[in-house]
Amino acid sequence: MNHRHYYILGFVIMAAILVSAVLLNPNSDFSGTDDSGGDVINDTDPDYQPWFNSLWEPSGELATLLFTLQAAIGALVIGYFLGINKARKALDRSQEK
Amino acid sequence: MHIMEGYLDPWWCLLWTMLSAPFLVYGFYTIRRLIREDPAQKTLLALSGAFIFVLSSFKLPSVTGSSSHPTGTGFSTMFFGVGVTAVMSFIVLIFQALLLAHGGLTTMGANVFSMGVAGPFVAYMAFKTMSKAGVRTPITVFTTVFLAGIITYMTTAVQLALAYGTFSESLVSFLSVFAVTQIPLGIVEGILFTIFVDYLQRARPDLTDRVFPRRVTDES
Repeated sequence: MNHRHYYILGFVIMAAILVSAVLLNPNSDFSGTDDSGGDVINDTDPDYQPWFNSLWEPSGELATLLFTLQAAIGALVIGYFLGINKARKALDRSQEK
Repeated sequence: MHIMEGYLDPWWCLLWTMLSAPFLVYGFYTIRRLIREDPAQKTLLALSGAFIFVLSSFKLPSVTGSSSHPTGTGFSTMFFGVGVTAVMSFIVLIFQALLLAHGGLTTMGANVFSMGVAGPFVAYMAFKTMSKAGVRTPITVFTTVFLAGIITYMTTAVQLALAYGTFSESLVSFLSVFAVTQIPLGIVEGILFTIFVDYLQRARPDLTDRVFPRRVTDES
């Protein structure tokens, strides 16, 4: 096995872990742990009142947009880097000839 | 790992802010120095931040039936240590607190502490120890990344257990919410960075040599 095979194996394991999470919990809504944490707080201390509220809260669709924006910014940088490496390699090769 | 806005009493907010602040200041100056002295580090800094941005925006499903964010801080931790990672975490947490109502301004200190200080600190210790002991790179990378994520979530559990109910009882409840969910996600994140660091060593050894010295016996 060369390194590419290991990469593929790695990606397959990653996908398998995430897919099995979904398959093992067919009826789950996969609520976030941050919210579950809030639920535990409410169970432990039902009278607790948050003393400060978020200045601004996006609606569902807007939240999706902004999360996607966050991911896109990061992915852009990583993709740019991968592209540069690829171009460098091609350039080196063409200069060797 | 995001403690919600208003869910920690002011004293706790103050305490965690005071514990995080020195790391942020130190990290800020480290970044400035790195950029000035060695512009090549800018690439790695950008990548560190980018991974935290991407991964912490994902809510990944876990076998426990709930979902959680990877932290993405392992990469930054290996290359730059705790201070810089604290600054990166701070940036992404500000974005999420202001634009997504995820985490909060009052709980910022506590969240920076778990994501940017405690997790990276333990992970960095493990990284240094394993590197010195000559453990193979993939195992070192996987362990470091896994620890950075899981320790972050365990820290959140401790922070909440300190603030709510009897410590030992609440700790169990909070750990079962945060830490258990994170285990499979930590494995996924660990594999991802193991692959990326391996790629980086092959494609850009000039960037990795400082942190992952090439082994003499390595082929290719």
